Amino acid sequence: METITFNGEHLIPGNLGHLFVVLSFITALFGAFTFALHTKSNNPTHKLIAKTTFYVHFVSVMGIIASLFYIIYNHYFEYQYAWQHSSLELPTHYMISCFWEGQEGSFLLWLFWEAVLGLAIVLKPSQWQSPVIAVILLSQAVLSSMLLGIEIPFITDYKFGSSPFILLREADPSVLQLPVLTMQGIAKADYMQVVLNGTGLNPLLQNYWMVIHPPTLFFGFATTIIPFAYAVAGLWTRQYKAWMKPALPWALISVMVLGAGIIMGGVWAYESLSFGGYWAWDPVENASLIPWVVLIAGVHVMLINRITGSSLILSYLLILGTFILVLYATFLTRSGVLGDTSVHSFTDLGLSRQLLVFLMMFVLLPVIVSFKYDRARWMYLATMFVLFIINVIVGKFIVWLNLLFIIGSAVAFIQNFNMHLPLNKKEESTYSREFWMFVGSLVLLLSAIQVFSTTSIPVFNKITSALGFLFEPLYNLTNAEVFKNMAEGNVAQPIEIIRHYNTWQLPIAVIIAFLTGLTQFFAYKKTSKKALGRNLLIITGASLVLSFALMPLFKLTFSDGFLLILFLFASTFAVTGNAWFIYKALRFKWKLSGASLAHIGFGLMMIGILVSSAKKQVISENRLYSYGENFSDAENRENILLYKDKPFKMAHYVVTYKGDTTIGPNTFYEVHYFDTARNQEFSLYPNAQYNENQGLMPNPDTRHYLTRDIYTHVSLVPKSGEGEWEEDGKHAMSIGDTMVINKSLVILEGVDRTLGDTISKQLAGHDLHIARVKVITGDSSVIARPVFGVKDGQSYYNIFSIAELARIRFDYAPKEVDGVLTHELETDIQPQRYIVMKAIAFPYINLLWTGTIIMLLGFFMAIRRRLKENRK
Amino acid sequence: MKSKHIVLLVIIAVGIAAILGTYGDASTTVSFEEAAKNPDKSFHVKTSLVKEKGIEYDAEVDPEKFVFYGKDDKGEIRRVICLKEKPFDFERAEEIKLIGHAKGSDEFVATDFQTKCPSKYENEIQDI
Repeated sequence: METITFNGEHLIPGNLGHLFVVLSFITALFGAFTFALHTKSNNPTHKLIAKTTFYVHFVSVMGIIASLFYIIYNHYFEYQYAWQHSSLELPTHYMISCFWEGQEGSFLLWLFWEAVLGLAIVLKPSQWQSPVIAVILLSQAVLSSMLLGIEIPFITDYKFGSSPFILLREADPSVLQLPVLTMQGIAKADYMQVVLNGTGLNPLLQNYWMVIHPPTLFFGFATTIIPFAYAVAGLWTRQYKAWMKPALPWALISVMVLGAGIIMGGVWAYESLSFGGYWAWDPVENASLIPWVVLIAGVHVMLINRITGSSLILSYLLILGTFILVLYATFLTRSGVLGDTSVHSFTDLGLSRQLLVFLMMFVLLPVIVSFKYDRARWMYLATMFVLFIINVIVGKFIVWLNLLFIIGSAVAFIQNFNMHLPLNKKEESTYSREFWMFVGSLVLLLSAIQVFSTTSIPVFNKITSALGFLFEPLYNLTNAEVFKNMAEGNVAQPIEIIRHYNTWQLPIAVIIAFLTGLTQFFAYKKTSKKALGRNLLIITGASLVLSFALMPLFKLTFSDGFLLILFLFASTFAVTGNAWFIYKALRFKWKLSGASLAHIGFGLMMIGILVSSAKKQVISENRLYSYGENFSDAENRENILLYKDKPFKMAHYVVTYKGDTTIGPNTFYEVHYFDTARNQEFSLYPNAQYNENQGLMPNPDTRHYLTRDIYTHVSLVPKSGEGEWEEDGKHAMSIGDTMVINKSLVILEGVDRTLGDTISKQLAGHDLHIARVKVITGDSSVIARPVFGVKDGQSYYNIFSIAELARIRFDYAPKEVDGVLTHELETDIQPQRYIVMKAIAFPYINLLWTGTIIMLLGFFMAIRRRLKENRK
Repeated sequence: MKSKHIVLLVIIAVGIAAILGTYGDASTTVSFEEAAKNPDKSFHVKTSLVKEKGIEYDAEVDPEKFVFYGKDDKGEIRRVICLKEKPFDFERAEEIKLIGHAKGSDEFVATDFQTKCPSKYENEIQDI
């Protein structure tokens, strides 16, 4: 192989970055090992080594980030990551967004947050420190392995991790064979002379929500490992209940941050994506919602256990499940398994197997630590190892074998659990808070299961098609189409996806909302029925009055569906119930009101979601077109075409497209609204950003009012600049011929040879042919007079004539074809500028945002309360 | 039996129903030919754009209708009538998942679709 010394490359930051990756991987592994050792030995030397290793690990993680940022900041496009995700034009404040456009960068973000959280735990002495950090460092090891980018010897087609520090020429050697190089006579060694700019950051990410949404979401993801680590530590150190006390504030932090991250994603979608809404049940959105819902259920069950000591195994399952579902979400969105079911999943970087191993590792970790006897543990580990080797030898995951092993592991886990802690056999009163909290948590879990199962269709397809030997006989036996589809892995998402989710989630939400309002009025263990009855009467009455008062305000009637009205009632019930609780039971002691406040916020969110989606009005709804194919196919027509300066009435708005302004890469389309019902006017400026690599990217604009939002989005924009003429054609005509051009009727009435009064003296003496062209546009008509002149018998010239209303420009020339005189009209047309746009009104969407903020505030207060309790 | 267990059983039952419900509501990914066997039913069809045949779209006639030729996994080509606005990046789509039903033997009416664009990396390296 020839060795070339390449010029113009900056290799130091990349090498340094790679060194930090390797260092962080090794220190994470070694740290996990030493912390685990300390958990068993309690030897201070072990702890010292472990802690020091952690600090080195922390510094390495920061080093990776610094190196990558240095590369992006200095525009070192010789690195693939900088070239692919940034450009010279990228403003500094968006450079940070480059971190989450690429998969490697987003793993790095996760690594960063986990390191920070780990540091918080390392710095605070506690008996839980060693086992908890051991688990965190284990996941740090896996995360940093995703950035290694090392080829494994003997397995040629498989790379371990994907490095963000890889050079462009290493990632794609064709960069050295570019035709530009040979054309300009540049040596391969100097290829950097042509790599002058990166391809830039996706315009959709150049949005302020995109600067804060991903870090918040990843912070949320990262926090879920802490309750998980505490749960594992509890099993490991045989302190089956004590772990919950320190884990609870962490779980609440997780709920708050993950919730904020998910909702910010919704705001981003609403503000800058074109689907018109804040939630689309997209698999990527669902993937982050599922662990959040499970964690909320988990937090409630933990509270039950704290007070009554029951539901221990459920606490374990939900808290362990949350982190595993976060890993599952990562697997879904990054392995490429979602493929075409989602618009914004990453494509496979070849990490899917590694991700699956990551997922499996953490599914099995709690099982491993749960064994009571070491012999059983070793046997289990040995089986696991054999299975792993079989998978590696065959070169793929043998689905049925692995599935069998997981089922076996689950059985072992439950069995181990029973051995340590027999199930609580105590009868619980249905008149107790813990009973209804238990019911509520399970209903939340149900919601998560439903979203999980529909979102996981692509994964189920992989599994069922691998288990074809089971489903094919079933199909032959029952002749049910579904078994055939399962065996072939052809199952697809439901056609009417929104309706599918609503069918399940709406009744679930009704129950949750009722329980949210009801449960606090039950006391733990036993409740006085008299007080309960009185409280229930008050809040039921209040919510009935309130919902009936709200119905006309929200324009809701019973014809919208009984379930919807019931949902409104249930959500108001949640709000009034908790407000009454703060007044009656807590006497406005705000320190204790976190939970109730979060519940009020949740209730308001539900009302906001209910009104803004059920009463969402597509005001650009289109009833103008002929529905060419089939009416039922075309019931959701949401776009209209607006000609420039031509007012158009839609719903109670008169809308006019006024023109465009281009600022930098963005073109803003001014759409003027006149609200005839309120006698208000405003303009919206939806825009489209032109990006060399991705073409046009549209961006909506929304007018916010207190009680409604008007959302507008362009779907098609004018092609050319203002007033440009487009060639139409040459038409051979005889006198009296008629034709249609640009929607106007054009008649060649005749050709005059003499000057009219209007044609000036300069043309005197010229041989003139003056066509008389009648142009009829709608009700009006005009005569266009293009001139063909011959000067001194040899040089020819044309004077065009424009029919303004018709937007046609005429040139005329007499033509002699085979001795016969014909007339040639050459026409250019000026296309009318138009945009195609969509406009939606979202009523009372502010209730959703207000509810969100109140809910987050409630979480915050609850965290403070639990932290204070733990300090005592 | 404890009331807690009754709740647990009910939830497990509904949970299983939810999973079965997914399969009950689920659609099927098929080829054009299979979709044509059942024109009253909607399916998912994975296609790619036949670029040579172009895209017909005249927003002035109907802003929510455009026509293209799609090729399914089996290589069959159909005239596809999409009843939606044309996305800006439709021409670049390397895969288009159609949701709709067959119309006659050589047409397909898509009421919805999802496009997948190539990652910008693959497409840019040739012309820095």
